[in-house]
Amino acid sequence: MKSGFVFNIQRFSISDGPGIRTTVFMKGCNMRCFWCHNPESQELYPQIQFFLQKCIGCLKCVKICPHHAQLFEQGKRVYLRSLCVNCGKCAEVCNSQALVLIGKEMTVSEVMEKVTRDLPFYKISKGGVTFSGGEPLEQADFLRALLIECKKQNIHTAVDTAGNVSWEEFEKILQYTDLFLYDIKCMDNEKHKQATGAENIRILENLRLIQSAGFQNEIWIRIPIIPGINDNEEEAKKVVNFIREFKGISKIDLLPFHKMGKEKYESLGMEYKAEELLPVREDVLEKLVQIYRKNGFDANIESG
Amino acid sequence: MDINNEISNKNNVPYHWFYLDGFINALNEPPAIREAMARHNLYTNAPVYINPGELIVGNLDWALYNEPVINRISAHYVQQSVIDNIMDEPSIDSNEKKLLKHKLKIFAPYVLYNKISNVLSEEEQLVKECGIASSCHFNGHMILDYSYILEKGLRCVFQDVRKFLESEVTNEQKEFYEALGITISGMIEYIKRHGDLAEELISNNNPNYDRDMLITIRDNCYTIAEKTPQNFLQALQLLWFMMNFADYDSFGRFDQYMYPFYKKSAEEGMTDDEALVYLKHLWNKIEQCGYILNMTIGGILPNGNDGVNELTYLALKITRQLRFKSPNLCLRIRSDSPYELWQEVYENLSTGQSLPALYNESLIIKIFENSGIKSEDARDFALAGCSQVFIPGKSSFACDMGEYNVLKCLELALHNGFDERLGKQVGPYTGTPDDLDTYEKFLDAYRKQIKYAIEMGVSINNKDYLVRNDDCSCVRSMFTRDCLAKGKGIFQGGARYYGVQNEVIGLTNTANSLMAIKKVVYEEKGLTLKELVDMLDKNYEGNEDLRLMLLNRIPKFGNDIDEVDKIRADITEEFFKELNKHHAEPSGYHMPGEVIFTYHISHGKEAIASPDGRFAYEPLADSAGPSQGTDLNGPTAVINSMLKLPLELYKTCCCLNMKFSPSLWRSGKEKIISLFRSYFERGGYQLQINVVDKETLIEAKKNPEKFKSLVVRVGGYSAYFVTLPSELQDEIITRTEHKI
Repeated sequence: MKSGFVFNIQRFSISDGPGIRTTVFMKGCNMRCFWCHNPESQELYPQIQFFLQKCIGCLKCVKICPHHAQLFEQGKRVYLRSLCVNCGKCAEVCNSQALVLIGKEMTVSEVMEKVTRDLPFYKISKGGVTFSGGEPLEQADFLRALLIECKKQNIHTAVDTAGNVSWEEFEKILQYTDLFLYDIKCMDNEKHKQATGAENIRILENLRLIQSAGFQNEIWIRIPIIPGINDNEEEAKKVVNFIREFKGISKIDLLPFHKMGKEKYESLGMEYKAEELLPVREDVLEKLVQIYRKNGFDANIESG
Repeated sequence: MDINNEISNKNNVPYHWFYLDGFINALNEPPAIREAMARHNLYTNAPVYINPGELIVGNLDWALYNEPVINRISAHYVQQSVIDNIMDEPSIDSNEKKLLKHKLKIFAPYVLYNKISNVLSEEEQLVKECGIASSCHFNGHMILDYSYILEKGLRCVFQDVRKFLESEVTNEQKEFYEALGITISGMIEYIKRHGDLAEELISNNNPNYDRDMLITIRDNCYTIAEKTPQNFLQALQLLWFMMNFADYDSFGRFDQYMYPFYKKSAEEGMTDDEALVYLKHLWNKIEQCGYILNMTIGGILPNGNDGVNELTYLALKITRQLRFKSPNLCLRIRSDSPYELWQEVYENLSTGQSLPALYNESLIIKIFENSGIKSEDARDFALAGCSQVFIPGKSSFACDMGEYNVLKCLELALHNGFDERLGKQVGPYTGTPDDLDTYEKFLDAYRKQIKYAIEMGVSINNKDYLVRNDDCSCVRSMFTRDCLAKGKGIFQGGARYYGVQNEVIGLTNTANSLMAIKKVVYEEKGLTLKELVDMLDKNYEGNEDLRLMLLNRIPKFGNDIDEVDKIRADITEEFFKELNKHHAEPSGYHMPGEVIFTYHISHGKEAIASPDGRFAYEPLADSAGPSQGTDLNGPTAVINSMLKLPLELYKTCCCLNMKFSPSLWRSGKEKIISLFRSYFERGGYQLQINVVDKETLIEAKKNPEKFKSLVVRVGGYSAYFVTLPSELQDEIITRTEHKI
C-alpha cells in the first residue's frame, strides 16, 4: 500500500525518541482510552474540526455545504455534525481556519518529501523519524513502506505503538524498526478494558513476542500515568515484574495525564470523559519513578 | 547605589560649557584643531567623579547624556530635548540660558544634521521622507585598536604623534598631528585628574570611601597615565577610560587583547574569583553608562589558532550572573567549536537574558576574505553596535548609512510610483495596475522602483561621507590604522578598510507579498491587481476574509516551502547586486545586510497595508527571519528556509531571532545545541535566542495572532502555545514562573 492517512507531521519533535526527530502522526486507532490526548487520531477517515471562536461570520461554508450541515440560524453559526459527511468543502473556503479538515491521505513519497527535509538535523543530533498516532500499526503496510524508505536513506526509525494489533502486523515492520516506544497502560486486564475499551492480553503478548522474535534494537516503555488507573505503586511493581526479563528495554518514560486534548474534543463534537480527573501529584510521580529506578531501569518523568 | 539618582544629581553640571567653549574659542582654527581644543577643554576642565564603591572610574557618559551639544559617534549633534530641559529649568539663570542660545547659534553650522540637510536635493529629501531610501546620518559604530593602546600606553602614543609632527609633513598632516597631540594630552590629563581626586579623598579621610580602594584607583590612574597597564585591573581601567574618549562605543575582541594582562596577573597570584570581581566592576560601569556597548569574545586568532581562553568563559560567566542588557555580548563560534563552549552558551541563554548572540565565524571570515580583506585581518573581525561586522582598529564601516525599505518599493510599484501616505509622486512611473497584466511586468515595475531607491540611497550616503571631509574625528583617527602612519583622518582616507553598511528592510514581507500577488492575481486570477490595490488602500476594511486568505493560505517565508523561499532569496540577491553596481564613498565597498535594529517598527510606520495580510503601519518582520507568527513548521523549517538565502553575499550581519519557551529549552539541551550547530555547519550567519518569559506568554494569550509560532513544552510533547486551551495556557504561565 503506497498511501495512508496522516493527521500531522511535526518537525523538531524532541520527546519521541533520541535526537531531533520528525513525528508522523497516523490516523486511526482501535482503542478508546477515555483520557486520550489526541482524539483527532481515533477515526481513520479525515474529520471536520470546528473552532467557533475563530469564525468571522463570512458564511461561505453555509453556502457551499452540499449537505446543509453548516447553518446560520437566529444569528448563530450552527454545525450539524449528524448531517456532515466530512467532505471538507467548508474547510476549503474557510480562510479564518475555524473549519479545518483534520487528516489526509498521503502517499509514501509525499511523507518522505517532508521527513527528509530535516536530514541534516537528524544526522548531527542522532535523531530520526517517529511514527505515532493513533495506532500506526493499524496501517501496517503503509507503515512498512515508510520504514523501508527511511532505512534506505539511513534514517533512524521509531514506532510509537499501543501494541493492540495482531502479531502479523508487527512482523511486517520488525526488521525496519530501530526503536519501539511501547505503551503499557495497565497490567490489570479488567481495568484495562474499562479504561481503554480493549484487553491488554494481546498487548503484553506482543511485547513478549518482540523479544522472542530476536528483535535486537531498543524498546522504550511509555506509561501514561492516569489517576485511578495506574497511579499506584502496586501497578508499577507489576509492570516491573513483567518487563524485568526483557533485554532490549533501555528506557522508561512516565507521561503524566494532562487535559490538553479537551478543546480538541469540543472541536470534534466528542464528549470529554476525563473532565473530573485531577493532575497527578508530583510526589506520586516521584514515588513511581523511583520504583523503576530501584529496579535498574533508566526511568524519567516526561513533562514540560 | 542608585545610578539614576547619581545621574540626575549631576544634571546641572555644565559639561556643555567645556566642549562648546573649547570649540568656540578655537573657531578660527582649522577644523581638526577646533575639535581637538573642544575635547581638550572637556577632558582637562570638566569635573571628575569617583563614586563610593567603584574600583573602575570615569564618567563622561554624563556629559553625553546631559549635554545640549555632543560629539558622539564622531559627529556633532544637538540634543534638542536637553536644550529644552535647560530652558525650562527655573533654577538656571536667564543670562546663562541666553548665553547658551547664543553659543548654539554659533555652533549650528557645524552640526552634522544641518550640514547634510543643506546638501540633499529635493528628490533626495522626498525619498527620505517616503522611506524607500534613507540614512540615519550616523557615521557608524567603531572599534578602536585597543590592543595597540593597551600594549603601548597613552604616553608612548603621544610620543609617536610628536615624532610624526617633527618629521617632514605637509601642512594638512601637521594640523592633523597637532590635533591628535592636543587630544591625547587632554586624555592623559583626564586620567591623572582621577588620580588627583583619589589622592584628595584619601587625605580628607572621606568616610564614604574605602581607603584601600581609593589607593588602588589613585595608583592605577597615575600608572596608566604614564605607562602601560601593569596588571589586569589597570588594563580594565585604561580600557574604560578609552570608552569615555571613544564616546562609548564597541569593545571589539575583549578576551583577546585583555588576555596578556589576565595571564600576567594570574601568574602573580590573581584568582579567577578576583578576576570576576574586577569584571563585575567593569560590567557595572557599562550598565550604568546607559549605552548598549558591544563586546566580542571567542573565535580564532589572526594566525588561525583557536583564541578561546579563560577570559572567554569568565566573560560568559559574569554576564550570566549579572544579567544586564549590556555589554551586548557577541560570541564568535563554529559548528565544531568545543562542545564545552556550546554548553556554556546554553547555560547563558537559559537565564532568558538572550546573551550572547552567536556569530558563525567560519562564514564571516570567508565573506571578508572573498571581499579582498587579508586573511589575518578577516580572522580578527569583531562586532560593533548591534551586530555590524568590523575589522577592529582598522576599519571604518559606516553603519546604517543606507536604509532601504523594500516593502515600500513594492508599494510604489503597486501605485505607479505614488506614495499614498504622503500623497506625493515619489518613485518613477512604472505602470498602473491595469498596465501590469503579467507577473513579469509587475516584477519589472518592482525592480524599477528598487533601482530608483538604490540610486537615491547611494547618492545620499555618498553625501553623508563627503560632508564630513573636514571632520578630524581625533580619537578615532588616532587609534585606527593606518591614519597615524598616513597622517590622514578617518574621513580623509586614513583607515585601512572602508565600507558602507546598508540595512535592507522588509525583504521577508516583500517576498510574502510577491508570493501572494503571483498566486492570487496572476495564477488563480481570483482578484485583479486593481482590486488588490484598492483593498490595500482601504487597509482591508470590509475585506477581513480576503485578508485572512492572504495571511493563512499563501505560503510564507520560514516554513521550508521552496517556492516562497526562492522568491525571498531571489529578491535579496537582486537587491544586493543592484547595490553593488554603484560606487560607495570612499572605497566602493557596499555592505548590505539585515541587522534591522528597530527599523522594522519605524519603517513599518511608512508602509500601508501589504499583500501578505499585514495591516497598514504595522511592524515589518523582526530580523532576516520569518514575519511574526507566520512560521508554523518549527525551528528546523525556519533554519532550512534561512539557509536558502544567499548568505555569502551578506557583507554585514544576517540576523535571525529565535524564541523558545523556557520549558522547551530546558527539556532539550543536546537537541537545541544540535539545532544551532546544524545551522552553522551549513553556513548560517547569526543567531539570537530568546527563551521567553511569563509576560510574553500572557501577551501571547491576549494576542494569539501575533504569537502563532511560539512553541511551548506542554507535558511530554510540544505545541504552539496559542493553540492550547485557556486553562492549560494559564497553567503553563504559572509553571513558567515557578521554574524560572
